[in-house]
Amino acid sequence: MNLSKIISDLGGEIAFRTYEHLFLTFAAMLIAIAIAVPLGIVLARTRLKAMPPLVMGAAGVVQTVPSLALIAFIVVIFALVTLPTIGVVPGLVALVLYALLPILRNTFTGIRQVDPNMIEVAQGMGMTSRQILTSVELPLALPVIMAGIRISTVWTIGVATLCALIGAGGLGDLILQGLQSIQMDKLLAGTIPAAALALVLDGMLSGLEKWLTPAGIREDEGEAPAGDEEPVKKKAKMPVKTRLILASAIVGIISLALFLPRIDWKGMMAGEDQRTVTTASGQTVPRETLAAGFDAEFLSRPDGYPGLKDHYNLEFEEPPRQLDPGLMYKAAAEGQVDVICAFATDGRIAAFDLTVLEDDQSYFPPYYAAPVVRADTLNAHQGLRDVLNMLADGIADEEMQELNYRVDEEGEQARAVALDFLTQKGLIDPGAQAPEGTGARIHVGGKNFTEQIILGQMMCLLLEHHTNLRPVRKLNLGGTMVCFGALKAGDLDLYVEYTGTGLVNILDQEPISDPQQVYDIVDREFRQEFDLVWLDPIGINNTYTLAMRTEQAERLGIETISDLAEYLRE
Amino acid sequence: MITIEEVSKTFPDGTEAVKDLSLEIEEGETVVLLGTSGSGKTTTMKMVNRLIEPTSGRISVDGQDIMDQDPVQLRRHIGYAIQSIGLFPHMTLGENISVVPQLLGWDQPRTDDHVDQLLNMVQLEPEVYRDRFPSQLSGGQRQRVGVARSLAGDPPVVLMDEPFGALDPITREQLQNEFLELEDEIKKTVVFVTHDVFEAVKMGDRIALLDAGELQQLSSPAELVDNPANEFVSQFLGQQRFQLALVTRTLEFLLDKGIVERTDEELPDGPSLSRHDSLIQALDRFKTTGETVLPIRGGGRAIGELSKKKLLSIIAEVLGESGEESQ
Repeated sequence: MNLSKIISDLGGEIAFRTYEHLFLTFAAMLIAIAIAVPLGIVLARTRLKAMPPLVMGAAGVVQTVPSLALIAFIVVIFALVTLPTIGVVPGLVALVLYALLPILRNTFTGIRQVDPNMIEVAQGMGMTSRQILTSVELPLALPVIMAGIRISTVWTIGVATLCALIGAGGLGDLILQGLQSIQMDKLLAGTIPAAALALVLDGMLSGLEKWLTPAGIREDEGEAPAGDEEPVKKKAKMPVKTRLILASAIVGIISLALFLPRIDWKGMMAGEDQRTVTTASGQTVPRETLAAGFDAEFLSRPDGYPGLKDHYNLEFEEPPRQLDPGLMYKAAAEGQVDVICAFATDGRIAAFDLTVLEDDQSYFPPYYAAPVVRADTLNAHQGLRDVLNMLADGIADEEMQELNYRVDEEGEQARAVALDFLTQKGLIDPGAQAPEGTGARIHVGGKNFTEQIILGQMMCLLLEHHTNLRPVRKLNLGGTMVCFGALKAGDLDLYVEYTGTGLVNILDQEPISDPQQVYDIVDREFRQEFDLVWLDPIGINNTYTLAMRTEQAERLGIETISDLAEYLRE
Repeated sequence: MITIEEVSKTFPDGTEAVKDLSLEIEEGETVVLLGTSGSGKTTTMKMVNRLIEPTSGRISVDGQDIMDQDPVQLRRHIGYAIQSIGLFPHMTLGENISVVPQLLGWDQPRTDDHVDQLLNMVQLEPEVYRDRFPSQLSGGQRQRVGVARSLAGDPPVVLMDEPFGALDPITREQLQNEFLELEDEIKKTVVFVTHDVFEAVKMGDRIALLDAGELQQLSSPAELVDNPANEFVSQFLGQQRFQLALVTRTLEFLLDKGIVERTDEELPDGPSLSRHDSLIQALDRFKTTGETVLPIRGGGRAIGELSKKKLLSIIAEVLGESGEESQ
């Protein structure tokens, strides 16, 4: 964990994510300023007494919603009205909503706090309402407005890290990957630039605030002793208006520099873009830009994108977007991204008309699911092993797909789906009530995606119906390394892990394609190294795959990952 | 110059601030609107530049009904000064004074000349003060700038709302004197609002004493002091009446009443008194010159002679009236 290593390993990504972060922050702030400043002015000058508290109240309510929830609300609402649920747009909407209040409030109070005598004298001298605004109210309110913008900017930089959840990019990507893989390097690579950005922008805005504050009301100016007859130094002072214009111009140039690279020139010239690609099978197909969206874990684990990229020499035109695993499939189905990482057992692959690309070079190791249990737990509770092994080889891939689909898309409860399945399989008597457990507590873990939650529920249900142990459900933990760390530390007693994940991600070994061999290695190594026991595999092989929309894959003649890599190279 | 005819103002909350007020203000005259707070003096003043619109009645400036004019244009041709807070803190003194000329569309060289001229007029060295901010000035200096700003753009009419209100007594007296001298030079029509009867007597050619929105007396300061029109005016002046008399009574009055013998001789070189001097000013002359007898000048001739002893006995007599009255 030394900094120079972080920079040499992740430097390119840090730079790109920082750029994305700046882009999000700038875009959100420009929009927020464009809305909040005029609105604040109108509110401060309106004669309708009921208006200001109403609008400020509404903005205040938005502010009280936790930022994570606000982003979630926007995704849900956008989904209802069929707006894009991932990417920059929903992210920006959340950031703008969050940034509004401080600017609005400061503009309002900044103008309201101007001495009414000052307004009256300006009126008495024959200034129009507009002249009073531009020559008296705004210059006097400017420092307060700038302070609001500053507060907003610092907040926005912080909240923008959360936008990584919905594929808007930014430094949050690195932070989430760091969390998923428990890697301090990535965590720091995301956090330090974010903190530095906040400090630098705060400093710059604070300087700008001082520079824009009219000289007469600057605090450091001090009161010259009365009767001091020394002529003041004649320095060419720039009027506030000129300074404002200059500052706006600089901000404009920075914005342009940030925005230009984001404009999809290729997309704009799509009409003229007649480039084609000849596929391996000799077909000539149109050349399209393919966007990838992967979840944070896939992006960071060695048997995920980093290894896949090297193995197949896969190079997307833009770095893959990071997406929440729950949003990935929908994003692909709606065409917001083209290539996603998918779990073979996910029901949405079929339901959303996606096609799995064949892993023709057998890159991905097998990922057979099996309960991993602490050896001391097994020893302490006779018969626990047999109960958990009731599921051995009990679930087929297709069955798992269906179970996942019922939870993900049909809104059923994971527990109900699990109970239903176990009953059908005769592992639990229909209508039987689980006896009130009196034995020890068993902590059952699960990672934060549907299949893990269903499997975790099954483990718990089996324990409840067939032992007197009392399972404690910890079924929505933040990923492999979080679960594994908790199991190793004794905070969990068991969770369902996948053999390939154990081999590559936890044991840090090269992928192997023979399932039995993988199982043997992880079983042996886990016992020796961690005193953990792999029980019998439950049948499903939830391998990682890449998936595309069936229609697009067929049109572009892409069937395998090699096809994809070749297509992208053309 | 300003004609106020049967003007009333009732505010939306029902307060009758001004009731049926009629007042004629001559060109070049300074009329003081005098009264306690709530008397309607400030409301009356603000109706002249339409900061407040009258409920009924008619106001005209220079023969034109103000309601027929665009309020913004009207105000640009009427100077306006209020208590010290009126300067824009974010503008230099030069910029503060330039506001109205710029609103009037004057070009930069003309505006700059005008600013320097006005700063000189209120005895602030332009080179030193032009680029200073209000926060760098003393209260008295700020007030001078306030006066200068109200004169910017050469308005024929100037409205002043307690312009010297927030000052210590010494600075205040100094500024009053300066303004009186200035007024002699520039001859503006001035509407001056104050609650201070001494200031009113000192500044006004005529005083309009208001109470509860109604005009109680409109007269010269001397007339106000010597012949209160009604019980309210007497009460308003109270015991100050006799001190005021020392200010309002001039040497001319003594000559007219025969208290001092009128002569017509050649005016000798050296210090003299003006027939327009008040008793207090005359006493001050004796103090500053150290003389015991001074000639009274009028039209370039000595029209009388007054000894310090005689003046003191006259003053004692004036103040004595108050002693008698209170017994």
